[in-house]
Amino acid sequence: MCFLKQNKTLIVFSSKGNSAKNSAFRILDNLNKETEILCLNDNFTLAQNLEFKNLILVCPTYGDEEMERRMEDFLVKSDWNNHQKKNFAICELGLYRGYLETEQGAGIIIKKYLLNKNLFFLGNLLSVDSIPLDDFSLIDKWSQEISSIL
Amino acid sequence: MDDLFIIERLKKKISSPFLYEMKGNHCISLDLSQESIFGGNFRHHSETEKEKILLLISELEYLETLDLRKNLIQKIPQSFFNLKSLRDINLGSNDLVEFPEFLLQNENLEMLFLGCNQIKSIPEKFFLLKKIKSLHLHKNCIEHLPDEFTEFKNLEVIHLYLSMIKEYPESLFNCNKIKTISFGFNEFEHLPKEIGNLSELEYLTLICTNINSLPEEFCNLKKLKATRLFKNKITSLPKNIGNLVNLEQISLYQNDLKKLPESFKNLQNLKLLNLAKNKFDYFPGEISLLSNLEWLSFHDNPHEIIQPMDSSYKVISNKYDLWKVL
Repeated sequence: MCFLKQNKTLIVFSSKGNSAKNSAFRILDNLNKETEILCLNDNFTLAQNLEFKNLILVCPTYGDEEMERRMEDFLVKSDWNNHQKKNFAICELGLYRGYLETEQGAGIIIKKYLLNKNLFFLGNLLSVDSIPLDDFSLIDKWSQEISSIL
Repeated sequence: MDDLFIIERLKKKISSPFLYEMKGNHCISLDLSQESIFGGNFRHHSETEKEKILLLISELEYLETLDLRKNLIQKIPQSFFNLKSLRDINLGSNDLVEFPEFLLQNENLEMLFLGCNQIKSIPEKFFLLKKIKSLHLHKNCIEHLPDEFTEFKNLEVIHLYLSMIKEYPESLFNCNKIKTISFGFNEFEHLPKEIGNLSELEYLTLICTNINSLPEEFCNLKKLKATRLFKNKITSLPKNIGNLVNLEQISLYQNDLKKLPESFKNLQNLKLLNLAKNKFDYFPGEISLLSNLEWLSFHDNPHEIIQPMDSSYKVISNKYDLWKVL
């Protein structure tokens, strides 16, 4: 269980290889607010008494089939009742940029789910080509934009 | 048990809306893939509940169409051997590790979707399903795929990308009714010249392989409408690619192309062209001659289009460096 104070940002990532992990830490580097980072490999679930203001989710996407399973478990098993009206942003990783235009990538799934839970969506959804992951400038630009509105 | 009674019991167990179709007293179609966000209607039910639901489904012995996609099913129960009238079944995006043997008795099967599972082996008897038209085996762990596709004389659609197959099934290139085919995410070094035998082919996907060229026979695919060839190592396109007069979309994103063949300008039906992440150090003039081009991507080449050739190009998305051709 992890306790964070109000107005803090929490980055949650799910990574089978290292791409999502590397992206998450790159985002962390760009955020000038106090931020904590959590890996879903640790079976972390969002506790009801967890305190944060902004949530950034970093997740691989598997195209038109489904998103990374641990992220799904995290979303479904976490209790979101105490997190209504908090902010969230999404960085998805996949075969190419632009799954967000297909309505089928992880980003869209997460966005729909958390909007249903009455959280606020922050900024544009970032879709990163992670095969290979080499466009860090895109991540930098996006996370700086997010940082400016936190 | 009456089929409507079974449906009512399913409704209680599943507790979310789903589609079904009755013909007389018989349920002939059932779709449990439609839960709102993550997929299947009983995806997040317990394993015990899933077993009960599958048992009920197996009592609908007149089913012709069954969609169980995205329900995280680990095993198909023996009771599914009751189902013998299936024409169309979708078991995709589950957790199956074995080919469901009950399928083999459904000799009228035309559409089989097993994509996105962990199936390791396809049985030899699989080719007894001679009426198959559409076959989805992508995203699996197939170590053994019998090479007898000539038995599938009606095959029109086959997806094999990320299936872990080590080599092309040669017999596939004799199935001359194929309209859609996909390979990808493996160590393929070439595309066989026999691809040119597939005279009805309209959609070809070959992505994330080690191939560095396409055979000249690729240019025989006169009916080809769209091809995704991204993330390979293609250094050149076949000389006569302009013969593909029906081609409307081609994605060559992330290859090693430095130039286009002169005949490329003959692709006068081309609407979408993705040449991003290649090695062009100039803007190929052939592109400007494509009179029906609507969409072009050219980012991440040594020659970046900061301001394209003339005012006929308009940025439609800065984020993805897409260019709308006016």
